Amino acid sequence: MTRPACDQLIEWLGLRLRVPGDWEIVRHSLGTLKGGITFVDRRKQRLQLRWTRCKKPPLVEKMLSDHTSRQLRDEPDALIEPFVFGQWSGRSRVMGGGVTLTRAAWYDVGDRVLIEAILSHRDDEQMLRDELLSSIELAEPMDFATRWRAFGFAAQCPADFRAVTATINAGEATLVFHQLDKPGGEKPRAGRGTLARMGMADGWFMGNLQRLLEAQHPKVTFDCTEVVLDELVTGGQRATALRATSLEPGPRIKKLAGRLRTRRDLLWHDADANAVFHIHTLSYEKAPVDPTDFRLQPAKEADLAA
Amino acid sequence: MPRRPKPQRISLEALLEAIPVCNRAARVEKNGQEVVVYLPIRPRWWMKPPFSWALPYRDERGVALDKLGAEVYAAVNGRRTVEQIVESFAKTHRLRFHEARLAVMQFLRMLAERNIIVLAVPDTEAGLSAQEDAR
Repeated sequence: MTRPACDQLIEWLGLRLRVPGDWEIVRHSLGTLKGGITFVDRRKQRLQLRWTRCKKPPLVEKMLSDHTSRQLRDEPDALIEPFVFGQWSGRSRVMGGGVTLTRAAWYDVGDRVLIEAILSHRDDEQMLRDELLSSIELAEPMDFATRWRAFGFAAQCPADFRAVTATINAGEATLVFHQLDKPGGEKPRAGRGTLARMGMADGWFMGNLQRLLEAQHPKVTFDCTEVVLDELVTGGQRATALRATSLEPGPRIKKLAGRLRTRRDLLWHDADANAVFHIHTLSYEKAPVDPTDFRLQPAKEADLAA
Repeated sequence: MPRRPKPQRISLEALLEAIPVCNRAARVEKNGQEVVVYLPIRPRWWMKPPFSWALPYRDERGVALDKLGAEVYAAVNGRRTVEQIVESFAKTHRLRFHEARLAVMQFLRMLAERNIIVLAVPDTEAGLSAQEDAR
């Protein structure tokens, strides 16, 4: 049986890794103190990647040996092999049925994060395990993460924004960002950014972006213009996009007091990806956030080399 | 009254290997892009004469399918597995397998709930319970 190639680049909360093309994230979190992402292949769970922010450097080896002792206490016949691979220390346990469960950990001193990986693979897939583990890196500090690549899109946010929610539905993925006082800061600001990829466009999109936007927000009056987006935003060819400006919905008293934020929308249809991409921002006029401050592109195979 | 045992959860693997089969009693009508599937309603005693002389009841109910729904329904031919249907759906709409699986499964579930299709699950323990479910 051929080993699946790790040809899918994933970027999530500063973590960067390569996984086989048919693996997909099924559980995810965006917390920088503690969280994880779980990958499945078509049939079962394959990789769980967890991170924990540590005040003091953890004793990774002791942690692993304690875990091994607990397993051996429960099942004295369990076959567990320690290994060290690059920065990873771990244990591989033969589970029977040709499956091996690998638990590995690594402490990133710079960002003070403990990364743990639990990988399920066939006994003959040790190369896959090595390739996967060697690909996992902390490309950006988690609090400063600006690049996101998963669920069929690649996105980039300004440095002072942090992802707060990711909503994944059938054919639709949405990432919401909140503005902070400074890159990696804690104090929230009023700016918001929402990036969405709406797939299966051939099933529902009739070719009119303005009508789509108005149907999504029937109570908002948009001021629309057409713009040509360059490759930097779309990632592929230049695209004709709809740029719309309006005020966020709210009570009239807030509008009179100038307390409603300006909403800026940017939508374009990517026929190659069969999707409509939508960036919208909310911000006060004194500190405007433009949709082109964000990048949203289909995650293409060609991007992998970048 | 004895409680009906709770059906076991069907595994994802068995579900992907299941073969959806159309209800032979279904009648399909195309109306432009919309497809309507009509299923006969089993007549109850109060739907038969002489009551029906005074209160005529419809003898079939229709389920309208949108473009994507009609595409999935057309792919159900009694031979293709759910996995094969998902694969072709993903290819057509340039979706990732898991995205397409979510969309197709939701739709197949809706069709099964309305008795338009049944899922023939491989003969395993989980499969048997799923067949009970479908019934």
